[in-house]
Formats: sequence, structure tokens, C-alpha cells
Amino acid sequence: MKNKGLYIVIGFISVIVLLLPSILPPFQLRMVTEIVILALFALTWKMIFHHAGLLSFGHSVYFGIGAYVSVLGWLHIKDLSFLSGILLGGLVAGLIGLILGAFLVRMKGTYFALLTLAFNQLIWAIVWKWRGLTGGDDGLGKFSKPALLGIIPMTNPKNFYFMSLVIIGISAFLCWYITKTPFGNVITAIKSNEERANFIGFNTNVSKLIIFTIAGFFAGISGALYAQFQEFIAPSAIDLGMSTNVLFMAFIGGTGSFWGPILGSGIFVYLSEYLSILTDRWEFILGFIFVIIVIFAPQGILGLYKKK
Amino acid sequence: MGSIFPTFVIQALHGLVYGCLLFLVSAGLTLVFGMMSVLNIAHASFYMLGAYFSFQMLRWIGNFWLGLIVCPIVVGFLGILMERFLLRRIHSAGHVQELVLTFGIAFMVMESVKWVWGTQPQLVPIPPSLNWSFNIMGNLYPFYRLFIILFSVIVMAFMTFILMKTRLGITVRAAVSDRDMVSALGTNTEFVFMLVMGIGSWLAGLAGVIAGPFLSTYPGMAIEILVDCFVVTVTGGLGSLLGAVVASFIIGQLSSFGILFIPRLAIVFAFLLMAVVLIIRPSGLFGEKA
Amino acid sequence: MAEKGRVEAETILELREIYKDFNGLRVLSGINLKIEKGKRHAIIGPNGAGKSTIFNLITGKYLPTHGKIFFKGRDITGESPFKLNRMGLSRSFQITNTFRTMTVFQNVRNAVLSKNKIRYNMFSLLSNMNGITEEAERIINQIGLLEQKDMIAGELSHGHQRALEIGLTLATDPELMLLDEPSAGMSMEETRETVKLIERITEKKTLIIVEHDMDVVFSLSDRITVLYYGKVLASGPPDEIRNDQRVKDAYLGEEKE
Repeated sequence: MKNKGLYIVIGFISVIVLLLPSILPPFQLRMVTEIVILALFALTWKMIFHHAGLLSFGHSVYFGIGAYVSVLGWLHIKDLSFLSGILLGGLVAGLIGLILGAFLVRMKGTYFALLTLAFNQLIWAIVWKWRGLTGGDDGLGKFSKPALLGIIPMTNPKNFYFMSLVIIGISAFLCWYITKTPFGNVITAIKSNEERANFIGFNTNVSKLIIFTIAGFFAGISGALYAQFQEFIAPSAIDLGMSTNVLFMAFIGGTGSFWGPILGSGIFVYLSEYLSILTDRWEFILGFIFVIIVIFAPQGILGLYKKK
Repeated sequence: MGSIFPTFVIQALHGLVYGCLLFLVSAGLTLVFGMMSVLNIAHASFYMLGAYFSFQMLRWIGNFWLGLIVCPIVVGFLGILMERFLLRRIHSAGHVQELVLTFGIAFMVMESVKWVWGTQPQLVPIPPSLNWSFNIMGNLYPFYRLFIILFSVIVMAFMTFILMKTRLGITVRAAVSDRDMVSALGTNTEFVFMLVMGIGSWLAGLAGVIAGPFLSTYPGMAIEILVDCFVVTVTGGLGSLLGAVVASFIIGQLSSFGILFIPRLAIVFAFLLMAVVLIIRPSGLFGEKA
Repeated sequence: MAEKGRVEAETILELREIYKDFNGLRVLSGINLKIEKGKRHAIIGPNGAGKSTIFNLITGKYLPTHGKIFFKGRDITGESPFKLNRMGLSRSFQITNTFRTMTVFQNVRNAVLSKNKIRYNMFSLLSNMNGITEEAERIINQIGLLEQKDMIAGELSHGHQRALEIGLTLATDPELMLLDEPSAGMSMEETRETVKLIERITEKKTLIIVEHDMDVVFSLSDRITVLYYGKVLASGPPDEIRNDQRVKDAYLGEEKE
């Protein structure tokens, strides 16, 4: 009985989601697209936090690298297709996740968190200073926006929206699926009791590294999509502010469920858009909400709902 | 040959100045970290607040020395408030939640600072009594920087005295190295926590006040010193003041000379040092093995 | 005790000249120990004698200050715990160390998955793996927790937690089991049940058990080693130990027999 209700709700939401481009004015559609793209970014953060127990203050590294690498691809590789560029961004981001992760996952919680912050600073500084490659402060723009599969123009916002939906949807599904596999179970076990997981034969460092790499890959995918969405990329995509944003998104929405990140992403995008009209210091309000949630509703908004 | 040595000395002095500031901020950080197992990210924010409060006081009253006395106390008090009303609440939820909370607070402090004083760096004038230069090996060197060193050494000596010779100090040291034991002995650990937070924040605020004229005052100063302080804390060892002294000195020199050689990425050196330490001796140079 | 014609006993675990210091304090001195395959070996001694430390050294949690440890003839000194488990060595903990947020079933299944070398599989759905489920349930049955199998481990009664603790150790099908005070905090009845359980599950395995309860020790063991302030005081069959004057003076006199 419960399942039936759930399917109806999902069906309902799916219909709405598919109809949105026809209902919404262009500006709103753009916002929804942004929400969808950032939701994956938030999802990858939740993945390493909720499932593996790893708190990362520097997650924008993978998002930003995915963005920059794909943009550089579209700028310098002749005829790089849309999907190939996205994939390229994801792969390099995953690779960076592998390299950094190899060092990071051995560290205890607090050290891990602060080290991610330190790495974020370091890599941001590199991106910022390496003007020749990244354009530094000016960023990179004017890169190609190839048609999807060669035929579907991505310059059309409705097409772009559906494409984002599909790519993010598949990515989110894969992330969800992994949690249902034996590997996903190991990660849960590690979060529950890492020491015991070791003593029953799991090499927990390797497992943590794998999930960290996967999260990096999908964060990179999200970043690459974001670059195409903005048609521009700047160091702000890889800075501490972006890492903070994803932290906020994940927490406010709720780190306990798969819908949390999308709720958090939605709240973030809407707040940043509408609050910033009201006041210059909307980020302060965001931070305030975040602190309130951490103290009173550690499982986020969805967590409050679940408890009832 | 003749011109390199003076440059070397000047750089070393720069490094010493920065090292002193680092120590003042890291001391509180490492004590709190050692005692509560929480790295208070907002600690660096207290440093920043010290600088901004002092800037504001200078604007209103024009007296640096009064600011030097009052502002750190205000900051110390804020630290106590934070511990009492925010951190304590979330203590039961675990280290991760505490860390996230301090992050949120640090963020809010930074945004508040931007709100009140704007995003541009504020130039804080050096107090006239300290604003003169003298000759070191043919180079003119601002006395204010020496003042920072002297002042820090005095503060360090004062703190060492308190920690080694007074009963309060001994209790704090014991609490940092073995909190459960101290609690079992009947000491009011909650009070000690608040005290350590207060003193640590006070030190950070003090560092902020004297750093203002040297480094200028801007919203990003908290994060920048946070990373270096974290490196100091990790390298020196949790809860070890001696470690903080040694590590601050080393990191100060590395930053200073690093800026000379790779001006763009001086942060790399501190980083590498920390990475090496974490791999070889995870508890830091002077820390206790878990 | 006819020794002639006896097959040479196979040593499955050997501690050679083991010393362990903690922050300058010498906890273990000159430990030499040979554990015979297929036998049940108890290590006893007053608190602080170093019993758990020996376990921690064997299972890779700590590194000995001096000395070497051999498992099945191979030097395992300082090997990581997960490698040792994969080699056939498994331990339980004195303070219950289960996956507290997971159910009894999930707990045991974790170990079963590891034993079957299923660690990185991202393709199969866990819910479809019937073989694994069956194996896990068999073990849960063995440890007598079938009724509790869907309970969260953290909410179990003490006795059940200790049973799960043993279950986790058993589920990786080790050749050598190390049980650290399995009957800690148990009533007489629970202790009796635990002893029977241990007898059942260690039938074809080698067992090293650390215990305070002398009833358990004397009913289970083939050999007993007595530890006293970090040194081996005596080592031999239960009768020998029971009658050893040094042991009586140092230790057994304090325990109820």
C-alpha cells in the first residue's frame, strides 16, 4: 500500500518536471536548470558525508576541476562533442579525487576536514594564478556549446533543461544504486564502525578512496554542466565560497536522504536569487539558517519531516 | 655576497614577526583542540574580530593602547559566550557536528564583518609612538614589527608563567592532556573549558589587534591564518604549546622565504611540511601518541 | 602421558621474544608462546598483566616494541588487521565492538561478505544475494540470535551483544579465533550457554581465549598460559596449572575455584 502511494507521488512529480519547460517563463526555467545541476554536486557531498562519514570543507575542487577541464577541452580540442567534454571533466575530477583521496582518507575526521579546506585553498590559488591556462581572475568564456549527439542544439534552454535532467538523473540514479550494492554496504559499515570493518577483513582505506573518487567524478560532471550552463567559468567555481555553498545545500536540505540535496539546492538557488535582491548580505542570512539547522535540526529540513 | 646577507636577515625577521602572530593565534587553537578534540574554525575569526574592533576603536577614540587592552577582552568574552551557548549544546551530537557548527559561525562572522565594514581591506595606522624605522645592515626596518616580536615574547612569557606556576594553569594543562582524569578528580571541567576558550580567544584577539597595522585588516584574513594555524597545530602536536612555538617559528620562516622564492604559492611549503609530518609522525612533533 | 609415537604438533601461532612498551612503561617482557593448531588455549592473569595487549599485538592493532609474531609459519609482525583477517585470524573484543547502528543480520552479513571476498562489488543488488543471506542466517542461528536478527545491534541486551560479538568473529570462518573475555558481564546461566557456544563453534578451529572466569577457563582449555605482570609465569595443561604453586600464590588464590 505504501509503495503504491510512493509511485503515485513519483509519477506526479515526474509529470510536473517534464511539463515545466512549457509552463515556466525562461528565467524560472533557468533557475530550475541550475537547481538540477547543483543538486548533483550536493548529492556527491552528501554521499561522502552521510554514507562514508567524511566531512569535506573543500569539495569545490572537483566541481571546479570538472568545469575548467571540460571548458579547456571545448576551447582547445577540435570538435570535442558535448558529452565527451562533460565526461572529460568528470574523469579528470575523479582522477584528482583519487590522488588527493589517497592521502586524505587515512586521516581522522577533523584532520580530513581541515586538510580538504587546505587543499581547496591551494588548488584555488593555483587556478587563480595560472592565468595562461585558466585566464585567472577573468575566467574563461566563449567556448563552444556543441549540439548534443550532434543534433540537439544546447543553445535552446528547453533542450538544455531536459539534457540536464537526463544526465543528472542518470548520475543520481547510479549514486543511489551503488548504495544498494555490497560496496555500498561496506561504506555503511565503515561509517558505523570503521575499526571493526577492518578487523573483519575490509581494507577501509581503499573503500573510502573509491567512494571519494566516485564522488569526485560526479562532482566534476556537475561542474562541467554548470560551465556550459553559465557559458563561462571563473575561479569562484573552485573557491572556498563554492565549497561552503555545497555544504549549506546538503545540510539545509538534509543529509539523510536522496531528496535532501535537491531540496537544499532549490532553497539555495531561490534564496540567493531573491534574497540578494532584498539585501547585499544575503549570505549572512544563509549562514544563519545553516547554523540554526545544525543546532536544532541536524538532519536538515527533510530530517524534521521524517521524524514526524 | 654583501647584499644577500642583509636581505636574508630581513626575510628572517619577517618570518619571525609572522611566526609570532601565528603562535599567538595557534596557542589558543591547540589548547582547545587538545582539550575538547574540536578544532574551532571560528578561532581564526576571533583574530579577525580583534583586528576589526581595534580598527573601529581607533576610529572612535584614536587610542591604540586602549584598544590593545579592551578589544582582546571583548573577543575573549565572545569566545566564552560561544562555548557556553553554542558549542556546549552540540557537544553531545559529536565532533563532526561541532566542527560544522564552528564552520558556520566562522562564516557568519566573516559575513558580519563584510556587512559592517565592507569588503575592502582597511588600512590600520601604526600608532605614532611606534611608527619609526631604524637601520638594520643598511636597510630601513619598521620598528613596529620588532614591537610585534617583543610584545609576543612578553605575552608568551606571561602565559608560560601562568601555566607553569599557578594552580589554575596547572589545572588547564592537566585538562588539556587528560580531560577524563581531571574530571574524575572533581574539577569542574565545564568551567575549565570556558576558561580555556576565553583565554584562547583573548590571545587570538590580541594577535588581531597588533596584526592590523602590519597585515592590514580584511575579511579574508581569518581563513588565511586559519590554514597556517592548522598547519602549526598539526605539525606541533595537539595540545602542545611547545610544539606550537616551534612549528610557528618554522612555518613563519617557510612563509617568509617561500614568498621570496615562489611568491605565488608560498602556501605550498607549509603544506608540504604538514603532509610530511602527518605521514611520518601523525601526532605531530611534540604531540602525544593516540 | 605417552609422548612416544605422537604426531609432531603443528604450531599455528608463535610469539617470539615479544616486548611491548607504552610511553616508557614496559607492559610485556620476553613473551614466548606457541599455540598448537586445533587446540583451545587460554591466557589468564590478573588485570593489567597484559592479556589484551597480547591480543592487540597478534591482531595488528599495536606493533611490538621487540620480537616477532608468526602465523602459519609466516611473519605477521605489524601486519594490518584486515590482512590478518583475510589470512584466517579473527578476534572478538572485550568491550563490545559491533556495528551498533546496523541490525544483527546486517552485522553478520558484513562479515560473511568479507569472507566471500565480496568487497568492491558495485553491480549486484545486495538484496538479491540469497547465498549470502542464507550463510548469514546460518551463523545467526548458530549464535542463537535468530529471534533478534532484525534488531539494531546497539539496542541488544548485554548477553546478546556478546553473542553477536562472537558471531562477527566466527562469520569470517577463521582458522584461529581469539576471544577476549567473551563472558564478561554475564550471569552464570549466560556464561554456561556461552561456553557451550564456544565449544560448538571452535570444533575444527584453533582458539585462544582470554578469560577471568576460571570455570570457563578450566572447562574449555587444552592448555593454559598464566601471565603475570607482563611475563609468562607458567604454561601447560589445566591440571598442571591448577597445581602449580607459583600460580596459586600469584593468582589463583585470589579467584574463586
